[in-house]
Amino acid sequence: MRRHGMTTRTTRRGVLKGAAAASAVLAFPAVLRAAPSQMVIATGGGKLEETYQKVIYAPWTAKTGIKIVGAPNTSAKLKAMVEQKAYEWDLCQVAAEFAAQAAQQGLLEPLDYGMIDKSKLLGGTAHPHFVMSDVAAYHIAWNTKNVKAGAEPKSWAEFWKAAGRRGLWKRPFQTMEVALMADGVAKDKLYPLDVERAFKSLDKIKSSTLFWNTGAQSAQILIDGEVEVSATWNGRVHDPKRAGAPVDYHFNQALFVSDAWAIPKGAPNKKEAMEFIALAMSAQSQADFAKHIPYGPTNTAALSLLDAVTKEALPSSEANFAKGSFLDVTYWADNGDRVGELFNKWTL
Amino acid sequence: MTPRGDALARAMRVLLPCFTVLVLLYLTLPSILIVLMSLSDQTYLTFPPPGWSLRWYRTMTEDTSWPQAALNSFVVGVPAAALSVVLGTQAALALTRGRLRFAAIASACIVAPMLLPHVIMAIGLYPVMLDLGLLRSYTAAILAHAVVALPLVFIIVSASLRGYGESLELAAMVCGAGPCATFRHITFPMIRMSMAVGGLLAFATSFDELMLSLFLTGPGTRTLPRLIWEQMNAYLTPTIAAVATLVLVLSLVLLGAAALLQRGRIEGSAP
Amino acid sequence: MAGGYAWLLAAPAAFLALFFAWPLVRVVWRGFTDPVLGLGNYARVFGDGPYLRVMLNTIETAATVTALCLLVAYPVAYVMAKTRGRWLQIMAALVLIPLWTSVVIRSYAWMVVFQRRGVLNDLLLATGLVDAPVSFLPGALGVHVGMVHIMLPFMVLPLLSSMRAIDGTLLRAAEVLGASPTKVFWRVFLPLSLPGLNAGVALVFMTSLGFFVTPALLGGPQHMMAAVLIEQQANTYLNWGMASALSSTLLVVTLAIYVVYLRVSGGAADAALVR
Repeated sequence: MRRHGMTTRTTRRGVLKGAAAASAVLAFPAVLRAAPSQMVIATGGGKLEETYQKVIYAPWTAKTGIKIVGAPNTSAKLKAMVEQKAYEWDLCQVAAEFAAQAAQQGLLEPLDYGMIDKSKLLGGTAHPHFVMSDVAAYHIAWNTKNVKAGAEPKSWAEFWKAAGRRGLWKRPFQTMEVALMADGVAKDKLYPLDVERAFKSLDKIKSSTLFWNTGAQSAQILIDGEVEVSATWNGRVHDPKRAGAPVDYHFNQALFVSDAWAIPKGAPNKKEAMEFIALAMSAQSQADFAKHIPYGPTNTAALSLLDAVTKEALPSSEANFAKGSFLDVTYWADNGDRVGELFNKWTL
Repeated sequence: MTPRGDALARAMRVLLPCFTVLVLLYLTLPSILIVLMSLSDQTYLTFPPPGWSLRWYRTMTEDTSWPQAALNSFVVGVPAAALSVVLGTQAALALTRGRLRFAAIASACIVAPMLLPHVIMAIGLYPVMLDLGLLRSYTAAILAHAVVALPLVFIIVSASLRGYGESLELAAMVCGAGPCATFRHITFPMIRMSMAVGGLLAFATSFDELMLSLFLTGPGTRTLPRLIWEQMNAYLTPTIAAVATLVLVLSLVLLGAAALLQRGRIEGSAP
Repeated sequence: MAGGYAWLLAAPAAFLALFFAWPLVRVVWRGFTDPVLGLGNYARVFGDGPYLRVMLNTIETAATVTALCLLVAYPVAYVMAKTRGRWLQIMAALVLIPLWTSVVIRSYAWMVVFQRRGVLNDLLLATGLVDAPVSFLPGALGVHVGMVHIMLPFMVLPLLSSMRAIDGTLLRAAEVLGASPTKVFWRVFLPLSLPGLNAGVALVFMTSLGFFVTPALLGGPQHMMAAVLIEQQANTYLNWGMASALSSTLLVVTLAIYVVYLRVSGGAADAALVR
């Protein structure tokens, strides 16, 4: 017990080196073992995991005989397991901006792009330590009972001027970008963010804005008419809209965000994890996924496997992708903490 | 009934029960709303639901992870509550009766686990449980929940102990009763109500604890709040409300059974 | 004999040392060493940022919730203490029911109540008290109603267990001696219920300081509480040094308040704990 207590403190560097060597020895039997009988994959859970179960886990198990166990992707846990070298996950899917942050802290294993084919991937989605798996959109949505057809905001500038109440995420990521677009910054000139200008823009709507906390909440306030218009993610309003809920949305000036596959640094079943990611990133897997959940493929070859109706709902289909822009995960990895502090201060 | 009851007291005799009824309504209102929402025929939570159906109960029964998680919650909660009652009562006795010089500091330390955000406890406990080889076991969750629930028992039992003087205990000891006999025959009967209340609150704390469970349980040992959280991250469907309703019904049945047992015992013991 | 009682501290002390103090020491240590050795994290906590404001906010909210809980719970516990038999069991069950529903789910239920097209607005519109729906969310009303709802059982139960223990003969004696019911209450009943009151206040106040879900869902960004900040630092920014420094600060602040509270409230009953 004391041994572990010491490793994370005092003479960090020296002890860490020793610990790394020790763990390499400990991990040795794992290397000798032919293949693991099961792998633990951490994701956001719920419907996402159910879909992966159907379209990737099942084919993977059929192909390799390795069973997949799901786990929730509690982000702090990634840091705990890498620091303690006690791996619960063989690989994980996390928000891309979080993956960028984790990569910067050295918590992720470099990916082997010899095994994962990145030739067909959208530009900017293949990073050394993580690869973006799907494209979601943070976009304008409105309650169709309260906002008349044709009166819906076409841009963030109109969203800012919309009558009634509006909803935005209670976090700086994405909300800052949207505030800048509302103030007239072009979608391809967002970074580095002009933080001052974003806050001035947010000041204009502060009193009429409900800052929501979770994606589920954003959908709920829209559907219940608590707000007239709100920013939300397309996966949140797609199903309710189909089920007849009074909500609609479009992709104009949408901000594209991603989840990403990554492997915890030092995780034992690295080779199998890479193979899994290669399968998950294949055109077929990505297309199958997009049929169930409206998050678009990052593998452009997947689009040709999908019909027009499905593609219409996907942020990364040709028509929709041109309407918006990608979140810069590197900017947030470098500035997240600082901008987050300013954002918290602004909200108080 | 006192003939001397003044006007204020008379007014209170009417007002207080009315007020109590209102407060009890307030306490039950969210539960009623949740039951109604669980019967919705929509795929999202909304109130009042446009139509009624039992589809979410069907969805839930098709998924075996719910009963497993509910069972796990009891497997973790009951021992955690028992452990915190035993340790919390010991601490309360020591600090109220022990005349320790550092009692103020000690009681502050015992209460501290309740104050800290659980994420910090989780980050700290993760490596400790790892070192002990307990990670992802029921034991890890039981120990962790006992740490955060112990202060509840400590505070409630201490209050009760301070409410009684220690003269009765002293008298018993002077008469030659050993410490164990004194506790059994004198102290325990006085504080057992507080111990029961403390244990109940401790169980409720464990039953609704999320952050420690997230860090310390595994897929096989995950508790109900963790499963709810995992499900809610994806979609907020009425399944969650259906689960909450079932837990509610179950707890009402348990409370009812406890009440019946108690009454049976009292009637049975009557001459 | 007192020494005999002191030995009882051994088991809980050992337990807390291993599963609370030791993990905490490791975490607190991080506040001073992560990312570099020094007081950098604390300079940030006490600097120009949002952290002090949030800390004060947290204390203020917890104090308000405690006061509201006490005002609501005392009469209820009083009525319950005077009730016997089946009605007491029913009332106790109603007090306990909320404990079995997850805090997250209950917060969503309150959202349904306070929405612009929610239960409360429907009621207000139907009775003609307002002409247009009122926006309650996000707001202090929702935060307080939601938090009081969660904490109320934790105030009622200690009060009840304390009141039930009050010797009825004392009250009757006072009445026989000519004291009016009001006087009996203030001079005899209230002082005898103080242990439960103190326990309830301490319990509710300190639990409220760590609140996370309810203010996040029902309150606006201006209602941010310390636990939310700490969770953000730990989970979103992986900045455990800062999360640890914030937690340590919260811990020190609340322990200080606890000690002050014990001294202020310190009648004969509480003196034992401080002495």
